[in-house]
Amino acid sequence: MLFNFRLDFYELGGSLNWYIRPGWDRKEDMGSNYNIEGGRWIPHPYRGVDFTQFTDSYQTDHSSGDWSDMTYGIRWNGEWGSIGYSFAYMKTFNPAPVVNPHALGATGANRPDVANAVADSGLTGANGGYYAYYGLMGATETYGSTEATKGNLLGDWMYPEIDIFGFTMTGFNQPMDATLSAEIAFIPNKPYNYGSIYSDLPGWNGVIEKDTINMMFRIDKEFKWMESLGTHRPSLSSVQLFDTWILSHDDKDEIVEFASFGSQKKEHTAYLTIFTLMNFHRDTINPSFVAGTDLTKGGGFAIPAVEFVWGDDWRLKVEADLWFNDGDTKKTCKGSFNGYTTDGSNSCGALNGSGYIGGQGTNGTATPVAGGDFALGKRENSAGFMDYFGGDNQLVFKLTRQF
Amino acid sequence: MYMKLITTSVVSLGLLLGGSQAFAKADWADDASKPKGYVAKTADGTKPNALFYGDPPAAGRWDGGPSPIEAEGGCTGDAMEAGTVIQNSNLDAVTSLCFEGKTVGSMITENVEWMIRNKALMINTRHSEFIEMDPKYMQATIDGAANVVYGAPANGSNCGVVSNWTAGMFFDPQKVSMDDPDAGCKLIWNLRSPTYGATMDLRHISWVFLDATSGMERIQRWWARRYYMEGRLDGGPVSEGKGDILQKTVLVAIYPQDIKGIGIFSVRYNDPTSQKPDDVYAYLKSVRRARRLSGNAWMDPIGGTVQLYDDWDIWDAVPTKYKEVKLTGKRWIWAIAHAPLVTVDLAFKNTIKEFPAVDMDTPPHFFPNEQVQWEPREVYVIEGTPPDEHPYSKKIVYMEMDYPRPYLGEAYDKNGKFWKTFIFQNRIDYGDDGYQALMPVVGHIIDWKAEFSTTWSSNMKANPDSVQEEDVTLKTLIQLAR
Repeated sequence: MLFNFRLDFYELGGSLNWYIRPGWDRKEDMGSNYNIEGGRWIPHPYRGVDFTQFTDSYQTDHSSGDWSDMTYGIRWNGEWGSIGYSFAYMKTFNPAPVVNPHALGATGANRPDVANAVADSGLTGANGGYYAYYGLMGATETYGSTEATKGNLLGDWMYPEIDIFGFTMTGFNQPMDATLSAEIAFIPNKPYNYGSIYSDLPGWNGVIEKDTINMMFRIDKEFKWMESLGTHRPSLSSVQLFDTWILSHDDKDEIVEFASFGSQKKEHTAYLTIFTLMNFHRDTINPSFVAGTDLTKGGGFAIPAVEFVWGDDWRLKVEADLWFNDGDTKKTCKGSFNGYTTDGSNSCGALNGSGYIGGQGTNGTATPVAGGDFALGKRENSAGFMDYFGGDNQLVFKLTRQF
Repeated sequence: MYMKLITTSVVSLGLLLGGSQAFAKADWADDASKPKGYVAKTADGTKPNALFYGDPPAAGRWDGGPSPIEAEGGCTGDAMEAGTVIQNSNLDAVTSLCFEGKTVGSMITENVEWMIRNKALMINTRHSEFIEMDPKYMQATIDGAANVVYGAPANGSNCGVVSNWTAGMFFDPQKVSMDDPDAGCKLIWNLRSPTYGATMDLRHISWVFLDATSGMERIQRWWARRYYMEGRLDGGPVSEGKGDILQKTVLVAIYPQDIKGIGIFSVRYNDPTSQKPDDVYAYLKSVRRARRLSGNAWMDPIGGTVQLYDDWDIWDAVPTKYKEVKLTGKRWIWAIAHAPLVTVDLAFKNTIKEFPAVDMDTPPHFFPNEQVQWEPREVYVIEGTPPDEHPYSKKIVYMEMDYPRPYLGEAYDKNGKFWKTFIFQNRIDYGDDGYQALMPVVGHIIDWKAEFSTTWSSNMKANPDSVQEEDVTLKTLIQLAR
């Protein structure tokens, strides 16, 4: 439930818009959840891995992310001549969830030494006892003042509350015959998961807060391809440049893109996207093309599509979702861990040695399991967000009957 | 007739007293016999007001007696009966017959003759009648005429920059001379003032997509309002805001679902040089946001229709946006000035009966229906050369002489080839405040290259109750789009 207000100030040429979400919503009515249930859009190798079975998803009453907290926002929209601008402030939830792990001290110094993998000495009490199993190194720490849920769980997913201070501008530039827009948002203490990048649970050492600036610059232009391509009307096209700038960024922080996706975030993460929408034959054949690339880490996507219109009711859309990546994500099996080594052939599963890895015995005791996978996941290395979707190319046919 | 004569007397008295507002109220607002939505019977025999329409009236008024043209000794041979349907089978036989002092053929434009002979256009004829525009509008023209300054051309256009206009027409058409090299520009300036109300409500407007062979293809329902910030004659302030905006328009599709939100909110500035581009916003469904568009969107097609935004009223741009505007003549044409009272019948929604003024039954499916009557109107013929980026190389509009009401139009492609026909059906209607104006209710926009038309029909309404500036905003577009 959300209350939205708007007050127009005609004499000032602007409007004040504010909303209040009192926090009365049912949990199932909260939007914006990531696919952590192991479905189509969770990255490899987690497809089919339901994180909700061994995590609390979601922790809804964390002191730094309580779903019953009131959230709100206020925005002033105005115009300087024909240039539109807005100032905004929002108290809201981080758009992506973070993992809040159990707090466990490191058994040795200086992560990421493999020998200091976080472990519950007896490995009988759960509560993070299996972090070692997944290769987590160094200490883990709980986010904020609320401990992760106890029980036989690895930790909690949660949406921390954040503050956003935003400013936007947009205006039409006649010489370019294009509309230019810029947006900037300052997010103090934005939470990120960090640590253990080369483990099976990258980012699960805890949550670190960093002041962050998000910027966007966009050019919208309508191309008159009626003569050259035979379009029915001008084709709206757009180029957008996004940058996420983590202030006081330090590589040692090992900030990850997303918990369990171990790509380390750089100081700047920049994406360039374009789209063009075309209409032929009086808007009955409507191709579109969307593409984007990660300027920081490479990779990209392209989504060519075409929609066919029949009468008032029937629509057919054919779309290809194509992802490009530079192969940074690797399956890594060669190596050693907790006294076990692979056979050196890069083939996963052939373990030698002794120690606790590979399986779980009775009473939660870890036991070696021959043939166990030394590394559950891939190592993202320098992969970018586009690699998240690596191997997810698909063709979509969508037939719609409108009523 | 008796009631009308009394009303006219009151108007004349108001003029003698020199108060345009005095007769404004007396004219319609207190006339209990004319409920909201009432459409006048025009054959009332009233003599046109000499101050507004000349004495004798310049155009052929029908006041119950011999029309001026007949009095002037025009065509006096065998006459064609009113009610005759001019069509290919009888065209040659009726061409030389007389009708209201003119030969039937002389009132058929070359383009209309081509459509009769080759495209099965039929013209059901009737006698012409005087159609009175709201006296407030006519009086404001006369009151403001002395102040209006027609300045030097601007912006690569042959048309002058106009200043000091307040309300009504920019220029009194009675005083626009055929010899005036700027006559065309001045008449198009007149078209760009609020011609049928300070607020235009294109109520129930639908574009029907009509193929010449297969008939109705799609129906698109839109929501449209235009709010003039200047020249308002609805009893409130004549000018609203800071004086820098001429009008605001919301034109947005609301059906079917997949096009809901296509459209624009535009702000046209009160800049007679046209240097300042329109502020244009479109709602993008894919991102659920409104985006600024090119200020040149005024020359783009409206959604998937074959009508440009510039074809609103057949000609929507201020003349200084065009490279050249010229008056090429005046003549009589067959035109639709008494369209049916019901042009969108929602009792038959989503069938062709919903649009009774359009002959969707009969190929080519997009002409006016049989019962729609055409009558002789004397018009200015104005030719415009749009800027190079415009899809047309030339546009011709046939516009009522006494006030700017376009009846027919033609558009030519960049190679100079004939491309589109515009047939607009008009009728007198009364706003919720009694404002009286001849206004378009059906627009046949026919793309002859594609043998296709997008014909719109609307229950047009001037000055709807309680509509204010804040009802025609970007917020309105977004609310309707979502």
